[in-house]
Amino acid sequence: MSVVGRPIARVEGRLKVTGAARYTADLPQDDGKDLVHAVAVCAAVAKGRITSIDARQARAAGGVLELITHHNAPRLRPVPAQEVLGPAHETLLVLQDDRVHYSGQPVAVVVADTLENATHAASLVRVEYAEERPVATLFEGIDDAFDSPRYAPPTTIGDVDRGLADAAVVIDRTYTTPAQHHHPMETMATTVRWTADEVTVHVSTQTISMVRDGLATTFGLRPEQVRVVSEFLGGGFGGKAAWCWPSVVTAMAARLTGRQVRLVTTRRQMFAATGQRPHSVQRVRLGARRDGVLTAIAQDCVGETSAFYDTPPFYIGAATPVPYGCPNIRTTQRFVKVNCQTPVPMRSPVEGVGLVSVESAMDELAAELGVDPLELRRRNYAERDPNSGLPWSSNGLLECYERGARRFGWPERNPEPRSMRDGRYLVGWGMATAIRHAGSDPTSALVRLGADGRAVVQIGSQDLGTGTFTIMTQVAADALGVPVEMMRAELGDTDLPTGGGSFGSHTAASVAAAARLAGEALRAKVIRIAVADEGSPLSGASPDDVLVDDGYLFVRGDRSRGERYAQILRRNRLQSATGDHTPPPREGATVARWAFGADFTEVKVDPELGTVRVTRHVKAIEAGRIINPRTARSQVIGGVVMGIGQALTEATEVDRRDARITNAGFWGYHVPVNADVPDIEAIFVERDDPHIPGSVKGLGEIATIGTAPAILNAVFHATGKRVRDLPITPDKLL
Amino acid sequence: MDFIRATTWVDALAAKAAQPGAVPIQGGTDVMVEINFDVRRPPALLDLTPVAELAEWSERDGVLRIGAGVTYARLIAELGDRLPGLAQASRTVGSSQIRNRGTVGGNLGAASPAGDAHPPLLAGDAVIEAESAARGVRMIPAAEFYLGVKRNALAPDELIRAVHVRPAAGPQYFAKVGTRNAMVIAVCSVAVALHPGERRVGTGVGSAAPTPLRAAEAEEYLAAELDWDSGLPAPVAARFGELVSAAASPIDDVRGTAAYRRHALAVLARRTLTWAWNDYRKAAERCA
Repeated sequence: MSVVGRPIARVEGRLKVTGAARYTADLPQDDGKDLVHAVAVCAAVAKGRITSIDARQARAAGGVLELITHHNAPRLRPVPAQEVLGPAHETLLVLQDDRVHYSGQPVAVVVADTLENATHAASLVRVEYAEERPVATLFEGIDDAFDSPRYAPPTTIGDVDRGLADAAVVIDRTYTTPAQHHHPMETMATTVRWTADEVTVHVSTQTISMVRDGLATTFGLRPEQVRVVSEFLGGGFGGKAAWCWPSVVTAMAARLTGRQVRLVTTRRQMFAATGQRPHSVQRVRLGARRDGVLTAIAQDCVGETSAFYDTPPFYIGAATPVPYGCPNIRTTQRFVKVNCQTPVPMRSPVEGVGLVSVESAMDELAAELGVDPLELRRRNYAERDPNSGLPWSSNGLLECYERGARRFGWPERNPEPRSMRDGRYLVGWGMATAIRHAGSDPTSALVRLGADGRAVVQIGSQDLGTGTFTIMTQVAADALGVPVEMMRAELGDTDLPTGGGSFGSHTAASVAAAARLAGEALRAKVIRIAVADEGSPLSGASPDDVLVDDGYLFVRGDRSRGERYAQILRRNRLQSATGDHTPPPREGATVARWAFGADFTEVKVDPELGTVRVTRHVKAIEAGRIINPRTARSQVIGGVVMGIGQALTEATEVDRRDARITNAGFWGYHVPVNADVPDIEAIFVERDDPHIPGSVKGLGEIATIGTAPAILNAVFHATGKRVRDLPITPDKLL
Repeated sequence: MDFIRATTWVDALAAKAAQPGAVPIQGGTDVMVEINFDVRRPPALLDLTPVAELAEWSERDGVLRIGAGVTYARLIAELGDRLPGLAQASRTVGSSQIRNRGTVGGNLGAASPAGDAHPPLLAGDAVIEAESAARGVRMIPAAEFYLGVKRNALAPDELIRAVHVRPAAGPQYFAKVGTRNAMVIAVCSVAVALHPGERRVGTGVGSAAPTPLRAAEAEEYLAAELDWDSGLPAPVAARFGELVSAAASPIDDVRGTAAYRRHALAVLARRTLTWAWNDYRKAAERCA
């Protein structure tokens, strides 16, 4: 019986709940003495030049082994960004010169025998700056906003101006979303040993292969000289998808000291270590006929990028042309250079930000027309992808609407704002559409089978904490035909066959495709061996007639003529096979591959205090076939919680005078806690997709896309007040 | 940084006298945060956790004496029925892990305007028992204890021994607004305590001025206006809210604006008074 599709428990769950799983910062040192600790000194100004660094006191402090500044740091070579390394967004070469580009940029690194000594010595480093006036937010630099035809070319479909002119109703609204930081529980940790033969890097990363290539490039090594290991990750949410300075300076320290060096960023440093989701302003215009059918969608965004950065980041409107069938669509984006770190992916950098305004504007249009918000979306269902003009590879959006609405009880909604109450609370129901491109990365897998009948599947990708170990085990066990208990998954080491990054909702599709190919290849290989093995009951059978069930190979129609993998392997020894998944090129595609979803949410608002509580959330998702409903449900819960934070609590506050972050800690940056999170229900609308291996579309981002706008819309329905500036803090509702 | 471990109260007082710059530490939920964030680097920490008597509470002559080392978790479990306002405030402190470590003594020592224990202590007429090796015991009413932002009335050689407070004589309530539903510093908070014997309502306001404070005018207003044998007129509750709000001097910060705080204080004060009054009337009618 197939184990794919079954809700088996996480295979690494016991290790995690017993504390046996070793995360990067937990790894014991090799020989009890060698490991030393690095602590970064971070810039106290957001823009200027370092005029002096007085490190005398720090160097004289106990246990200090090395102090690195731009005067003595190893010289680095530029790391090409998007073209070579995917979202390798931090192009700043750290500790190379006296320029400061953002507050929190590392200006010195202290290495000492203990973490306490390193921390103390770091506090003794005195840095003087010639401060310059920084650009704190996009509002300060909006006059200098520029466009990027290369990375964010305008999308134009049809004639938007005519579509707006022909519309019976036009909605024209501007929304703002704040800068946000990822804040996985595990902060950024790196341990590096640098010897003449090999540089070994243990690092919390969503992409071991990119860290390897990046370190090799910047230090002038060959990639095969660098080994990167990341066995367990305590979350990342995009922050660990990028190339970031903590890993670079740890490698510098290891090279200069000859010791094994560890650097773990503090929570405060996480506000300028692994990038952030950029602040944005989004103007949306929707044109519609009286019946709600859209005649035009126009979205003009402005987003932040870093002051030193030469290739702009995300085109947050890139997916805006996709969700609704509309003949006239135009999206543009401009950028403002701001004294912040370079923005990196965070919890869906495109759809998760750019569709907030579109989905809110759709709700405003529904209110304006007096059409039910769900009905408005149904009327604008896209029969083909409006952006490419291609047919969908599969599309379960209408069923997501239907099943989500039914489960939520949406038909009971009174359309009038402020009409529903529970005691002193105003009750609001809101919904939104979610879409996310379904892609994958080139990935190789190796499956090996031993004489004990046990197998291992290896991929040089990593488990972000989402369940990759588990789904890979399920898929490989099915493909080989062994019980799931007999399959073990290995990830997180560049010595394994090369896999992709854990981002872009690509991991499940990539890993599953490669694991299946490798498992099937190994099954075929062992069958070929068995039918040629005179000692096997399968000897002489046609390979096509050999079936495998639960580790037992037999001839079709005669179950008694067979034997177990272990028996074949005992005679024929260890066997292995590889599988290589190559995704179809996006150029020349004949279908549009997307995952779909619909969010339905209930909020209760205290009308006197403006406090908002999400009390119910139903999310229906069509992401092809679900490999493991249990880990999938966990992902949806996590994604919805992120959406609650995006809608209600999370914002990185920047002082507009000096461009420094004023809430740099969990005391001030509020992620949702248990009391903010209601029961979250996940509904999976399953679809076979002949154009996607295993019909796996990926869940990471679709789990959070749609949640924040559904909450915004519910707050409007509860209060009659439309907040267009995220997050909705209580003061904005009074 | 020196770490001094006192095993008896006498030792603790002697250590504090010898090194007045030493910062006392119990649960460490405030002190360690400040040290870890490098906000302060005291010359010494004075660990009071081995001092057994600090973790005890007792009752004598109708007054509870709560040792400075009694945790929020124990306050809730052991004294929640007799100090409902303080217990309500204690339930909103941090997470259960923090409540297992943090103490009211620590809250008083830190004297943060946002400390959750302060408003119910003010409303309940608590008195702080301070002691020094040189001058012995000194009793400081809560209303005179808070002097400025994170400044209290303790002399450099004094330690907090206990808090003295009478069990609630009437209904008590505490309410706060935060930027999320738990594990959050108050944007502002209000406590009320009904003292039916004296026909008086005590108040405490948090996170809305440099110090926690009593809303004296609001208390005087109720003393003059309330008819303790009838219902609470809505205009009286509303006026009370306005006066509590007027007693505050809030600022804009990352947690909220001054204007929001003023507004929310009035709402919280009106609500807590109404809840307390309704409880009181219900109890009075049952007795009648």
